[in-house]
Amino acid sequence: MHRRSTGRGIAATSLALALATAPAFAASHREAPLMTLDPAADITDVYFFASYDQANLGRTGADRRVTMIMNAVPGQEPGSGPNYFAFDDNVLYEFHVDNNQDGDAEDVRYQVRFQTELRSPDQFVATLGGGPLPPVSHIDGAGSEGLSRVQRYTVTELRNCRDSKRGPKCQDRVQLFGGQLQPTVPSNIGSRTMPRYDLLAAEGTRTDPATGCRTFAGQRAETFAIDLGAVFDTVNLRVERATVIPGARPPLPVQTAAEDANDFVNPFGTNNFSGFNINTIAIECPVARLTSDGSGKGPLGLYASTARQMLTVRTGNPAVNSRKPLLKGTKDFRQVSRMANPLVNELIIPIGKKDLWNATDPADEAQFVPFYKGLAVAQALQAVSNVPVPTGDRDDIVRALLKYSDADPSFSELLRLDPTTAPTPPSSIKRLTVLAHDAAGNSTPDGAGFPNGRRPNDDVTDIVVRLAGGPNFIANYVGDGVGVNEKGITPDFPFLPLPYDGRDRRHVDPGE
Amino acid sequence: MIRTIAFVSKPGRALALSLALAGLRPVHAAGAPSAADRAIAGVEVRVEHAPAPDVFVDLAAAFMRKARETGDPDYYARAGVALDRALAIDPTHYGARRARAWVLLGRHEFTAALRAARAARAAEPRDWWNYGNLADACVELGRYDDAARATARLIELRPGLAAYTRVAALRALTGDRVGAIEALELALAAVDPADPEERAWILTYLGHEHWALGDLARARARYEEALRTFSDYHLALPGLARVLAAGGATTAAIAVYERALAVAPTPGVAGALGDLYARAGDPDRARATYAFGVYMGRVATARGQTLGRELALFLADHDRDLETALRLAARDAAVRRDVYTDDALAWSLYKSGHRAEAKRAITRALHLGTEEASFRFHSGMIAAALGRPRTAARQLRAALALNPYFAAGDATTARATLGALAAPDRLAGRAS
Repeated sequence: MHRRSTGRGIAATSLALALATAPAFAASHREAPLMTLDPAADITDVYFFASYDQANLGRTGADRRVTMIMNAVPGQEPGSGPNYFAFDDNVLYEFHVDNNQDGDAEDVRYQVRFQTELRSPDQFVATLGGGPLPPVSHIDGAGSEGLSRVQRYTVTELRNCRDSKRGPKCQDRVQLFGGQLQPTVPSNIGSRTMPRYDLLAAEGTRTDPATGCRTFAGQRAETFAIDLGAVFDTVNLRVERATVIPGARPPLPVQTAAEDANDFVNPFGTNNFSGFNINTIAIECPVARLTSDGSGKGPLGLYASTARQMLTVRTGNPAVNSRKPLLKGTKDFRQVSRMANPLVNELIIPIGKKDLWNATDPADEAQFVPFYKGLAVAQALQAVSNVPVPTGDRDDIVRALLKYSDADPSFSELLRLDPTTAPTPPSSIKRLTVLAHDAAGNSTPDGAGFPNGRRPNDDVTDIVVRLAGGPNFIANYVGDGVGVNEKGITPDFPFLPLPYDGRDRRHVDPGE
Repeated sequence: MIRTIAFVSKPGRALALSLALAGLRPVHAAGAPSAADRAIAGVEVRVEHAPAPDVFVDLAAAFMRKARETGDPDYYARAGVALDRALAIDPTHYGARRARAWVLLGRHEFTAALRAARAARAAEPRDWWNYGNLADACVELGRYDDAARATARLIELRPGLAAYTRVAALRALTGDRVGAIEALELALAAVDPADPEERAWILTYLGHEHWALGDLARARARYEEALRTFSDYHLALPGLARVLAAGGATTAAIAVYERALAVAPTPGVAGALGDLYARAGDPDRARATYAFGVYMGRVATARGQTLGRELALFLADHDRDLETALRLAARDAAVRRDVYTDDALAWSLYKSGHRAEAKRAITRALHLGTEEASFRFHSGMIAAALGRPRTAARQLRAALALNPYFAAGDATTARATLGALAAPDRLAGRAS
């Protein structure tokens, strides 16, 4: 051994250092990311409805407009600079429509791809007031110099597609806007940088004269409302905050008819998404473009997906050993997230299957049918509430989420919309849709919302909980006590509210 | 003695300067609770409330995150304890079983990690997670074809950050650093904006790839971006210091290495810092810093932790305790046949005078065509010692061509050796 006279000195140093620094020394290995989120490709909500802006309320038949929306990049804290939030140029964002009720949603597709221009990579916006650039007054071109990053997108409409090994083969392909790039609306930073964000956002609504379609891509406020913290805490809903209903509350999360009928106040929950923003892609087209014969008749099925590119991997180095093969010679896109009906991935698909489910074509949903029939979440609701839920196979859930009719032989998880249902004017929209009622408990259904498509302000959490829990849950108005967000209903395209601004954002509920 | 080791507290001036020039505070400021801290605190509340297996798996994941954030291996041990508690409640819990391989990788128990990853794959063959762990374990063990197959399956099941970073690793190993950069750029675009450490990790590895290609400017920009994103990031500090040293900014490089040694001490950092002290004419500090490197090895051994090949390379590079260097490298090589272990073994053998064995080991290290200047340098020096001047000159030139700065002292040695070989090399050139 190499023990020389310095050994004692080292030992003394060692002791001193050991006392000084609690030694635990890094042993490096390449610890590549594994527990990762993919927010840019994570679809959190899909909406599909007959547009309820003033112009469309007057349209009928094939002329009526239908809006498709997908939200991604969730949970945006509005003040999170300096990078703020963007779509990913490497992700393929896509809407898929089934218009012949065969469950295969490849009849009409809209593909959205983004391209980013980086002007000064280290900063999102130039400094104002003494800085060299004026406030941002336009989202592109003159007036947009203050934006260090401008993201633009193309929309491609594909028809009559069938899947092949090398991706979809489509007979018809239309580039919206003649293939011209359209600007996205940037994150809302604050009033000094963007004094009239409302005008910037309005510029984000683009109309393609050739097709009559309108598009929007950019930041909006989150409208999905849920007491997520309470739900994750084994459905520990905040009934203790509410007034006592003798014999019922607490402990059960039941509501009075009057509380439940109120579309403006949350009776007891806390909305975990209040004050957060999302990125949204909205496309509105005349329904004739989506139906198979141009008649505007449905029903139509929809899902949204994101896909990412594969990369090639080699075994060995061909320069060193030329017989080593290339394992994957493909740069194809592969679906990584999909969504149609709300809460399916969260409540029905078990933890170990979620990624597989996300990668699966909805037309191949048959393999997941046992999870719909078993509906474990209903058992959990019963365990927590002591309110009995339906027993046996839940064919009602299978029918509602996977089929057009009882006779439909296929299982396909699509958001289904009957486009002949007239849109409800914004002032009459009921967040509980088919389960809506007045303060006395008399039924006042609004048939233009979930599960007939889905609008941004439909209270899908309570609707789903009641459908899952069955008649006892419906009769007792069981819910998470959250159904409203403070921004209310947005009566114009893209039908989601303006985003919270980074400087003045708040996280509060109506009535809080 | 301790007075001469000044690296414990002083922040690097070069770093402070570069941050000031960039005009940005780091997204994660030093001292503030990090994402991992918040995750640990959040899960600990849940553990109190409902100690279920899922909660312990989340706790293990939070500790794993903290381990990578800090480089402190104690967190791997805590992650292991959390998984034990999950499995004590439910021995069949899949989430805990698949995370086992991940934790074992952190603890450098690669053979056990491979076993655990295979067991989890058998349970859920379509869960992409298991292919990530399989690929990592196979890379560390030098089973590169298996690693490539696992990675191909991973990217087929779930293209994204986890797959792109592993594709990058394999491409870099097989001599395609440009392709590695392409994959890492895809990963960078896919990173969660709410996770600055993950972003800093990708930026750091981009820095490593540019460095390996001798592109100091790009490497420096990536390391600095990593440090702006996550301040004092222990993986990026040594990278930045190395680039600064290569560019001749010795004082700035010393400051950043001192910071690195204070944040997450490793023998490699101690060695590089000692070399810079020596270059700056401060032999006392150089000696003290080398001594700290040796001390780290002893403490790690006493704690049952192996620093393996990194310690072996540090000792061999500095001609200290060569017996230990060889013993460590050989012990690693008995279980790992990866090219970096073979390289450390080759260099330890060479320094101990075992030239023929060194030649065999360095040949294995080069078999993938990895573009690593130090491999070429070691190969060249071994060839020179074996009296093969043509091979020696070719390898030394290749090292310098790949990255003329690859390691300050080594590049100088390479040039001197090339000079000494010049005459026979010219003869050899004419003969061929």
